[in-house]
Amino acid sequence: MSTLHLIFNQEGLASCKRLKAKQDKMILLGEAVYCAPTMSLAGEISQFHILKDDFDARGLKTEKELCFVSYDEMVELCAQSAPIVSWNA
Amino acid sequence: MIAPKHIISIKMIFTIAVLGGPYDSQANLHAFKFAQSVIGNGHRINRVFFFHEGVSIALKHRELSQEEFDYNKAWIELSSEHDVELNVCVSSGGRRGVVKNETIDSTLAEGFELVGLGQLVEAISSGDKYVEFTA
Amino acid sequence: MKNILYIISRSPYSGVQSFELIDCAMVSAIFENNVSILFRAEGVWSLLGDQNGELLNSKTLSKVLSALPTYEIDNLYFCEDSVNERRISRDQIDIPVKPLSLNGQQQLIANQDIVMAGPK
Repeated sequence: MSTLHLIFNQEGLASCKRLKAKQDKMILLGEAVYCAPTMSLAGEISQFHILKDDFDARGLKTEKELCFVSYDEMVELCAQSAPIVSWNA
Repeated sequence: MIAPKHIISIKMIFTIAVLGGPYDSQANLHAFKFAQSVIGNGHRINRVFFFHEGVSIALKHRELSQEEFDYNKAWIELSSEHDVELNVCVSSGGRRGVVKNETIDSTLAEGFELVGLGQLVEAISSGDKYVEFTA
Repeated sequence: MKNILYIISRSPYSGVQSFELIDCAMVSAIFENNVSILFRAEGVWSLLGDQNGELLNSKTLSKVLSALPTYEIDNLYFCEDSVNERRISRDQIDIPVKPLSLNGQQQLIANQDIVMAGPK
């Protein structure tokens, strides 16, 4: 099973990017959704997911094809992954 | 006759850890909504464990204004409807004022239980998935 | 028995969180799990010798870490890059801890059942 990374802020994203393996999946939540509009996702777009509620709540908009997930989809990703690592630093 | 193939979806046991307080982080929001989805998708939660600053959810006395979401109440409802244990780390709790004993006024809210770290370890050892919600 | 990794990314003494995480690691080991600890980012400051928590009314983290082998926690690692970026020399590190490259850390994480990283 590949690892799932839950990323809670910008520092967490920087750390995760250094330590994730190629096939791993990532979910941006909380403060980390602010990173989404300026991220260059080329080549990795299918692996970075963004929690939709957190993105919409903050009034963020995007023209990019971002991969939004609901809580249900987050649960499904967790069920398919091991381990699940939370990043905030 | 060949029986139709069924897609067997494996149901998992989740342990959820909440590491932030209800008003200094989104930890409780994320964990609560995640917990609802875990249950809604047919999986089970063996324990929700409140650790580090997460213990503050279990403080008994809080006065909220009408617009403020009551996470304490939400967790207790989820716990009783779906038989999910709400465990608070006793040592993290103690140093942050979440206590229950005979000699001083208890500050532990009903529906939460103070337990040792062994309970968290036992839960993750017997469960399938461990998910941490932090600041 | 599970493979459990604790990731320490914050420096000690700005709160009790690192101590609480190490307590959890010790309990995990008592329950016979295969426990590893990775120090990275600001967490590598935990490895310095000559710490004196008493000056801060605190336990001394390095002393707590040196007791880990008595709990049969021998898999202690640090991020090489984090140590180099902070110009920490190897002789400042006082506990039995092994360096890992980023690839090594990736591998370590992938081999775990559970990862605990603690709060911000």
